[in-house]
Amino acid sequence: MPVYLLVAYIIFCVTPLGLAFSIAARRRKVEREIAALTKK
Amino acid sequence: MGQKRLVDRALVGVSGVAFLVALGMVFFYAPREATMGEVQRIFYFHVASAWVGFFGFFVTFVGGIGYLATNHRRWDILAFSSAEVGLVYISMTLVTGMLWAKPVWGTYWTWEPRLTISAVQWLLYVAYVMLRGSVLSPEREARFAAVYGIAAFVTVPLSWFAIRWWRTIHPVIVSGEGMALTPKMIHTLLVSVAAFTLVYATLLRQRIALEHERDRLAALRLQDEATAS
Repeated sequence: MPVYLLVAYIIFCVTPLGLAFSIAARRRKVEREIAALTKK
Repeated sequence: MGQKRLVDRALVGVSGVAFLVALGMVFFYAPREATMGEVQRIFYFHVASAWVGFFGFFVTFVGGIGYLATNHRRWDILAFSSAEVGLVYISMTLVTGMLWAKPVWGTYWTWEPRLTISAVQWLLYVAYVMLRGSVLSPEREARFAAVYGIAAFVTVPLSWFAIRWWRTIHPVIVSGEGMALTPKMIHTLLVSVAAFTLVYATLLRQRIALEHERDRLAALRLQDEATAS
């Protein structure tokens, strides 16, 4: 399989997952801050 | 389990399965293209990714109009969230386009009309996302972003028509004479576009939820400061 094809499909698979994890991480951070403020 | 969470989980499941089906079709269903060989398989996800990027920017355009017409924060959230997801997809389109161009054109990049417009479009939306945490008041920032998002959308039709109006080496897949593809290639492309659209919808919902939570946090901080003083 040509290396260009392989690299392209790795990018296609990893990038949306990366964005999903980034959003989830940012949400968790905000949720923690909300929880801390609510507790206060 | 709340209804929202149920919808989120269903969307994640459906888009994940659709993505895997599309991936399977690209490698095991679509035929090998005669001229370019195996590397042509980049085409299916490259086009699907460009479609999602363009659609994402269209949603930003609609969100901008909605915000200017109503002043409702939910339109601004929709526009901003969609621009971020769209930008990621357009970045992916640019990079994989370069990977496809190298073995086919002999170069990663050439300053022909379609690629030049794509580069300008990418820079415009990078600036849009960066400008969203600016020092302006939230309302001014949202109004400015709405106008910017509407104006930047001009790059989408320009990019679509660039390969039809001007001499360019970028191939035209959909023309007035139909699609230059075999039925199996068309099936694979359509499934890929559908799968990418589902993934976009999933990511957009998550991104919108994040922005709503940020608003909630900002309101709680204000409340906390007011109580302290």
